[in-house]
Amino acid sequence: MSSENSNPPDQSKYEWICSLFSGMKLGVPSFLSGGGEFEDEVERQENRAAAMLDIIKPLRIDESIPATERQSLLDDIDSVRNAASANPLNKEDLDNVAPIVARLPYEVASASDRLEKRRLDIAAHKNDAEDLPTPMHALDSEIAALQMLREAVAFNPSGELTDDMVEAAAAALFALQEKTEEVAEAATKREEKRATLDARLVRLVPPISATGKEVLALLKAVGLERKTLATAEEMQQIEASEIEIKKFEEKISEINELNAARIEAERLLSDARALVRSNSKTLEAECYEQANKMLGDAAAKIDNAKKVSGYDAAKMDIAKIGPWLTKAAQYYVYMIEWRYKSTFYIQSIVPADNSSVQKDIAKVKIKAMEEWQKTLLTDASALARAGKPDQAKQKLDEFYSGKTQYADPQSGVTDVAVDAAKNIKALQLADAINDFASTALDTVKQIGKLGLPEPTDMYRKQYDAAKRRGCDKAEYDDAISDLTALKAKMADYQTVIDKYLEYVGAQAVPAVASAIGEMETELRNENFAGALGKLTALDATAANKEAAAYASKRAALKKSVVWLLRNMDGGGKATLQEPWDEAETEASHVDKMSTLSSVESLLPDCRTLVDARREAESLKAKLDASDTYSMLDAAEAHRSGGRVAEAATAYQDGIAGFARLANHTTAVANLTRTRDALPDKHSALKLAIDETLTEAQVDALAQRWDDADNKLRAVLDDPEAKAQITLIERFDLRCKKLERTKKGVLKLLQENATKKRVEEPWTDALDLAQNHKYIEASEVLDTFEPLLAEARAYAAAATRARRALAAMDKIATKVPSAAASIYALPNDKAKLDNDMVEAERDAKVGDYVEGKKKFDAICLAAQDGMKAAATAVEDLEGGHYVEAHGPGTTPEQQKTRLLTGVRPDGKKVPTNTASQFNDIGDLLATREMALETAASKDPRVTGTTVKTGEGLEVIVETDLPLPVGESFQSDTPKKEYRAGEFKEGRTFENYEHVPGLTRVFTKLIFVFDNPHDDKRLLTFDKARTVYYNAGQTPPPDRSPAEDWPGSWVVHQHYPTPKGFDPVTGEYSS
Amino acid sequence: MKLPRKMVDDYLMYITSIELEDVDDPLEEMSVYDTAIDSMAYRARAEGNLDDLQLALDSLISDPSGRLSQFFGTGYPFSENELVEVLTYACVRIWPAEPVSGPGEAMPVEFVSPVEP
Repeated sequence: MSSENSNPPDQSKYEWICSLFSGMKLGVPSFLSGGGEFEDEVERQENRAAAMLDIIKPLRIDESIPATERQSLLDDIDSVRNAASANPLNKEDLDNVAPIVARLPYEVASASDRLEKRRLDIAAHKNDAEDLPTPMHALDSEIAALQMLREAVAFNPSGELTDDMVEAAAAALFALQEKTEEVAEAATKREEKRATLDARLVRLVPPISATGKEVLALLKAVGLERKTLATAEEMQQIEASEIEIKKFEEKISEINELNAARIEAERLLSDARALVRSNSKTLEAECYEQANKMLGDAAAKIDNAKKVSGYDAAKMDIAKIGPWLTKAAQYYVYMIEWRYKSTFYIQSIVPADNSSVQKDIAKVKIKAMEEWQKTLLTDASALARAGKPDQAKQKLDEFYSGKTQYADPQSGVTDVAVDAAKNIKALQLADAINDFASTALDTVKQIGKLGLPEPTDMYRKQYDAAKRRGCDKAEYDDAISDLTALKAKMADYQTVIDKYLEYVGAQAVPAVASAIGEMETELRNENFAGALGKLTALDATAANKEAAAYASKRAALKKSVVWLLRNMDGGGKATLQEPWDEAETEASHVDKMSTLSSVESLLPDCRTLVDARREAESLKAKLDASDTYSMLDAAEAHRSGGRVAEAATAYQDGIAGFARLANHTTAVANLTRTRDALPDKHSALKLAIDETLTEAQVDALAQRWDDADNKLRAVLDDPEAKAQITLIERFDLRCKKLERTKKGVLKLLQENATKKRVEEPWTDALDLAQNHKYIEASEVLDTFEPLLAEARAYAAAATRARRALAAMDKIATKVPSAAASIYALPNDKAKLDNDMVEAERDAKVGDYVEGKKKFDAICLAAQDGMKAAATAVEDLEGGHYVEAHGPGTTPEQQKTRLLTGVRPDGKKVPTNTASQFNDIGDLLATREMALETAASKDPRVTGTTVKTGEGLEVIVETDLPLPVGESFQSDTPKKEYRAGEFKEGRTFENYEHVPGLTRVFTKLIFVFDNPHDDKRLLTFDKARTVYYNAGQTPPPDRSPAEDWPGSWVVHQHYPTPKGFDPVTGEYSS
Repeated sequence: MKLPRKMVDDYLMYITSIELEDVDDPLEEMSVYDTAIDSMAYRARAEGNLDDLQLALDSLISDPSGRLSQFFGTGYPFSENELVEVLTYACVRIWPAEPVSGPGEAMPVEFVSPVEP
């Protein structure tokens, strides 16, 4: 294209043509049309042709003209040139080309403009295309596609630019725009999906109920999936991740559902267990056992459940327990009343006369009735246990219609019993006894407590004698009369007591002391009116009353004041001491009482101060926060200054502050560990944690606890931090559980090599945790746990065997006569010792299982020897633990002890717990351990003397790493009919079985060496008497005096259920 | 006042672990408790807790209802009333010159488990 035509056609070009033909109408110029005013036609045509040639001459048909139009324009120019160059000129030809000449310049310019426009359009498309950004997160394939489109827009044609090309460029630009949007949308969707899925992965916290292996597997799989997700390019891959995540979620959901079902079932079981316990006092033993069996069956179903349906089945069973209990409880109420009645009826069988024959007949009758009563009760219990309380009641009612239903071995027995039951006098006696017990008996007790004459024993004996007269001799009228008289006497005595209480503690006043002395004399003579008179006489003198009032009040306050003064110091002590002393020196009664009142009003604050100070100091010591957090400064300043109330409040504030500090410290520790354990890629979170810790520390030092906690909480709520915390907490919890066992096991293991095998993996796990590799540390614990279980079993067996053999040795030395039976062949001492060495060798090389087997074999072989040893030592010490609590006793015997009070050794020694060792080796081993514990608490037990006045008993409880026994226990005492009175018994309606006891109770007593070789526990006085009775002088009375000689022996030794929670397997303290 | 429950329990165990053979009325012969009471007092004195023991006993005697049962032991199954009688006897034996508080008269005592920070 020529330079002249490089610009698009503009108005100037047209102006040029228009100026050339000015004054002409639009269309063909006149000179071109041949019109005008030329005279010479030839000249005019020549001019006309020349003008035409002038017009077409500058027209350049080159590349600036679109190729498609170029030929047509050239043809037009040629036709004009031909017409204008003809010789001669032909007017008609010129006329024909004149319109062409008129439009040609415009067409040329216009064509050139169009081409330029196309060029500009394409350039604009190109620019637009370049302006389109590549969407973020676009994949390589998408970027390649976009690049292709860009290239299409920005094509560089080698030929002519056509409209089609412009259209193509526009279409390509449009396509590029659409593709870019599509890619952007796809990338956004993909990244959103990725982010959503990643968040879902982060939230995948293993359920609490998952096992350690499940947790680790899940954490690993989740970690892997996160990597896969992070690197996934295609949506398909991301969707595949989503499928995996769904699987994780389903797995967790499944575990959670199972867990929820288990928790729900266990909650219901726990409720049912509580219900059974709360109903234990309204159930008889058999029903209680049945209830426990139902609970046990349900618990077993829960334990064995693998699916939700399994838990549902357990829940259905549990749901049946409540209604069953209601029925059983209804029966129990009826049964108790029936037992009272039937027992009273039976007790009403008395001999017809005082002859031995009648007495024997009465005994037989009573025995027969008792057996029948027992049979009915057993049958009824069975029915009640089966959930048929109505039938059970009917069974009991047979007692009342015994005449027809009871096959009486002694003719007339039932008649007599039932007749006796209908004896109105007998029932009246029962009412009289109950009436006395519920009213006048309190007066009897009060007499003893106040130390008044006559001693409690005397009135108690009178009461017992009246009851016996009625119950044993059927002297109903006389017995009722005796009880009525005694009740009246007690009522009079109570009047005296009520008056006496006004003056008790005021013996410091001479007149009061004198009157009380006289009152006691009158009481000894049972002159209650006289006794009362002595006291009322005191009322007449105001001075006496005032002095007594003061003395009583001071005596009432003394205990508290003295105790507080011992436990207070500084200004606070003086604050209390001063008015306490002043009260004594005040002149007037009003001032004295007023000063005492001021002391009284100080007491609550003083108590609070002592309590709060103790607790605060204890917390302070435990938290070791004294330097940085001066929370007690104010309290101590108040205390020194004697400002008791302020000090008490300040100490309480300090306690609250320590509690908050403890929470804060825990949160900080958690967060610090979380920070340390976070992988490096979470540097932003780590930084945030660091900043938070710093800020929280500033808040804490300023004691802005809420601010500090909120800051810590905000970071702790981060999903990544939460996941990490869960992992750490799991690890900690597991360590805590294992550590207790490990400590116990290490304590029992003796060989260093054996200990090392336990310690090494534990240390490895802790080291890994220290380096924040909790997953790896958990894996180490996975292998440590079974190893520890093996070591634990081994250590238990070893300890049993070792201590049993040691105890046997000791006993063989102490009781030479037992040595032969202890080491009877084939288990002689040499063989047992050799077996021990071999068993220990196995453990040293790491084979705990084999070592345990050998120790078990030793224990088994030593069983007979141990039994002999235990019995020998028990005989030697005069104890009763083997016979009463040894493994030779049966569970039935222990239950019997609760239900009847009869110990397995046949003696009636009621308790509310009855326990036994599971193994004779445990008994001997724990006995030795208890002796060691006792020696550590009271070194006297290793000696052979005591001093007069010292304690003669030492009680210790020894905690063990393993269960050694089981127990039956109850808190539902049976109402018993004793000496004509129904009262809370020493035996029990039911029992609870408590296995897995890990604590033993041991009581050591000091047995005095004495001339009669009496092995009982004696008091110093009794021991002295024994010496004198034998004609000897007791050691302390000798000259020079000696300590009492003797020895400490084990008197009681048994597994104790006190404070034991069978659910957690732990003791409450 | 607050006293550690375990400490009180350890002392009372001397009494609550007593086994009585064939006894119909555990209050009939109070001297059977003498050795246990003396041993309890000896240990409390040796451990510097005799004052606290007195405070605990006085409080339990004065207000036993619902509080004494937590100290029931593994020995003779005393009723609450019976144990109050025995504890009263113990107080009179250990501190003969100091009267035992009547109902509601003793210094209020709360038996607590150790506080863990």
